[in-house]
Amino acid sequence: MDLFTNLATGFGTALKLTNLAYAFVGCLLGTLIGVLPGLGPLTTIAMLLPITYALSPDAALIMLAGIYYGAQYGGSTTAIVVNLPGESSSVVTTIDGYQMARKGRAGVALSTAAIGSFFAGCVATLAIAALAAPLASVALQFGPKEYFSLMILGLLLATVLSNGPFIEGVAMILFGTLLSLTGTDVNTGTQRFAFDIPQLFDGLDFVPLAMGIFGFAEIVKNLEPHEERTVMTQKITNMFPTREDFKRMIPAIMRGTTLGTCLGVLPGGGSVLSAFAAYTVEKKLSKHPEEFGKGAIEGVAGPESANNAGAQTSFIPLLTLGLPSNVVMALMVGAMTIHNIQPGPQVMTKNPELFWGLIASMWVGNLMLVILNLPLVGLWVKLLTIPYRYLYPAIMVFCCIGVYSLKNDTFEVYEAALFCIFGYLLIKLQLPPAPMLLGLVLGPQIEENFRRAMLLSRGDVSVFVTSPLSATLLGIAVIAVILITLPQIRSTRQEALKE
Amino acid sequence: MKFCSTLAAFAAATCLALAGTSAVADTYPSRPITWIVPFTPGGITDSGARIIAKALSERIRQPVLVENRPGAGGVVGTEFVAKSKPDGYTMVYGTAGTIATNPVLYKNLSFDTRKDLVAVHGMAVSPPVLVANPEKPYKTVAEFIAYAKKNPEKVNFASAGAGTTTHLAGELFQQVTGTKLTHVPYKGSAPALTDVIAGVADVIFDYPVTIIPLAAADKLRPLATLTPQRLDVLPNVPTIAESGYPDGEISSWSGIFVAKDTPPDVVAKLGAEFGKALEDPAVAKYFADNGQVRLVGWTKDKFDPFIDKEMVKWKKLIEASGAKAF
Repeated sequence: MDLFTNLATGFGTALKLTNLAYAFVGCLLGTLIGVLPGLGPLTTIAMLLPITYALSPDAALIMLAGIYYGAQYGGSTTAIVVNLPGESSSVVTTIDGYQMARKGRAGVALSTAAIGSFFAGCVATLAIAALAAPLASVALQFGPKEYFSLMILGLLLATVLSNGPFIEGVAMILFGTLLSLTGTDVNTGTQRFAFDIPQLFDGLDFVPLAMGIFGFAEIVKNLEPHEERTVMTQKITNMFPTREDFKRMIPAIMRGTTLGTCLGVLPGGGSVLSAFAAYTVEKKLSKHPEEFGKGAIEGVAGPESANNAGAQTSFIPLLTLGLPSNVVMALMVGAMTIHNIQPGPQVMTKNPELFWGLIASMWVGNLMLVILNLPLVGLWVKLLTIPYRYLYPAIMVFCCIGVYSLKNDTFEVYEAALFCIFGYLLIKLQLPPAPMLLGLVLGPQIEENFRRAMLLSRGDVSVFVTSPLSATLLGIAVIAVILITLPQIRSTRQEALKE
Repeated sequence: MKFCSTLAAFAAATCLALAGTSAVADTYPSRPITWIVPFTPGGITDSGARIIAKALSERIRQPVLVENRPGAGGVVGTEFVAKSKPDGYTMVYGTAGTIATNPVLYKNLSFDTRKDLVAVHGMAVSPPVLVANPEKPYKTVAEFIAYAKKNPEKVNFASAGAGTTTHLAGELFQQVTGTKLTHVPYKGSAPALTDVIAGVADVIFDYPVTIIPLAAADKLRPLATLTPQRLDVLPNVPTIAESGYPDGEISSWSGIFVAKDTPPDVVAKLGAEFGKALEDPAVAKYFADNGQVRLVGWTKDKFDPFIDKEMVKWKKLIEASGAKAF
């Protein structure tokens, strides 16, 4: 069979000693960088790009890819341990992951994330090897109208992230969407709410906001004199998942992987969507929905598997068409160009060793990551025993470095500081920040795709229901609203009856 | 008196240095040069800059550090260099977009791209190529124009964003051919190309670097290049002039710029070294492969009048297109 000869070629390349070494270096660097709050894969790959000049193209790409998924692993570590999502896809992990850490189950949460990510990585790699071409054509089926409907569905699902009333979640999502209106209007180029500040022309960035609202605000809260810091004082109960934990996490991992593999193929928000779609699915299917938001293991296993599978399959548009689906992929394109490989549909036939080598190395990289990360779990958990007076200045410094390095500009650091005040306000008002951040990420996509669909249909709104794919997605959205609101209506009615 | 003799030697060395044509230019560059690329890492500009930076640093025996300061279509990074110390150690990658169109699009910039920056040397010109989804009924540019005339506003042309050169090239095309197309802007070239490949949008005016591999795989059909001459990388694609519209020629271009008040001899020396770096075989190969024409020998004297003409040309196009930022 073709697949096997191809994979054999791939493993031939990936298992070369030098390539193994570079895959390891990439994974290690990626993990470390991912753990440093704020420093993301983008900055790291950009910094390391010049170093790869001297390497062969396959070694260079294998190392850069290693950094990318290494950072995905590392990013969940900070989300769980210190409530800091390094990128949009790990926002969801903070909800239950951090709560598990507060209960002394940080080790379990970290191991769950590592195991889930490994399984998801393996399955997604296989999917890329076997189904890259058909999956890419599915992605092409998604035009502006289909994206609009998908994002609407996504936003509705995001309300489930809030444990308060439905309306609270909706309010936070809408608020995030409003924030996302800042910047250049795509259709006309007009500036909205930018106040002539060039840094605002591109809108509000995710990372400084997340750092401010999650990271800094959490620190301020922990420094309140009268409140006891639960995080650091709790003793760690167990490091590795128990049999009961496994029983609960395995189905969640399976579902998360499936969702992530499919949604990751879609450029623009695919992997973010997959993480909280997985969370929603888990919360709705779980026998213990009341545990969600308080440290449910499925709330870590599902989203973590989904975002890792998504990260892997987001290589598909790049590998099949040469078109990057996110900024990190754009950087991979740059790396290929610098090494004299023209990214495009022909990479597969012109450079088969490179193409299949990269795919095989994803599997190798995932294995390395799980081997690397499981022993490190103990180390990360120990971080929590560091006295907070030493820990928080370090977190602050790394956050600032990370935020600065995004664009090499101090503006973003001030932005994070400003949103810290806002984040503290949210904590005091007990409003959930996660739906807001997702509103911020998905808002521009909804607006852009809606207006693009309108331009293409010359203003005919019916396109959203005449396209079968779009109609299906909107149908699911309607059902979702009913499913989400029904229990709430019922419970309020019961409360009303009691009175 | 060892100290005195060292001092004397130092004084003598200083005198010798001063005796030359210029003290600054003789020692320049004595430390690393920062090259600001006002776009995200990994883009076309970034890759080109990194390849030239390697050749340039080998020539001047000082590291040339590429630093990305993206934001606002290049405004953020360009402003940083316009306000940097005028010593020749910070230069910016300037493009038709950042130098010529941004001042028209953004009315309240805190700097003037021509007065606060000095052109040092040209880099390359890159012409847009008109490409269509291969399933569409038109196979040549003449057929396309006839189709567009028969179906006014029915043809969707995608672009990398309102006011970008890919949008303005489409505006120029409509002006000279007398066609009416519907503009559909995207955020960047990749999603726009994806929709042209999928057939959601019909055509796009995009650069050879992304077009070539997709055209080779029959995912896109190139109809015409907007250059005076055919491109070596697309020898079978006619130019817009060959198709009867010589006024439809347009190209994006790039070059390096430093802050105003940089000593003229430093500008001249940097320009000379940059010009030689452009002739490096690896640099030549990169630009040729990507369908860009290097501006070899385009020092300040040749580059400046060219930019002045381009400023007028792009301004007119933006005003005609209606794209604006306040």
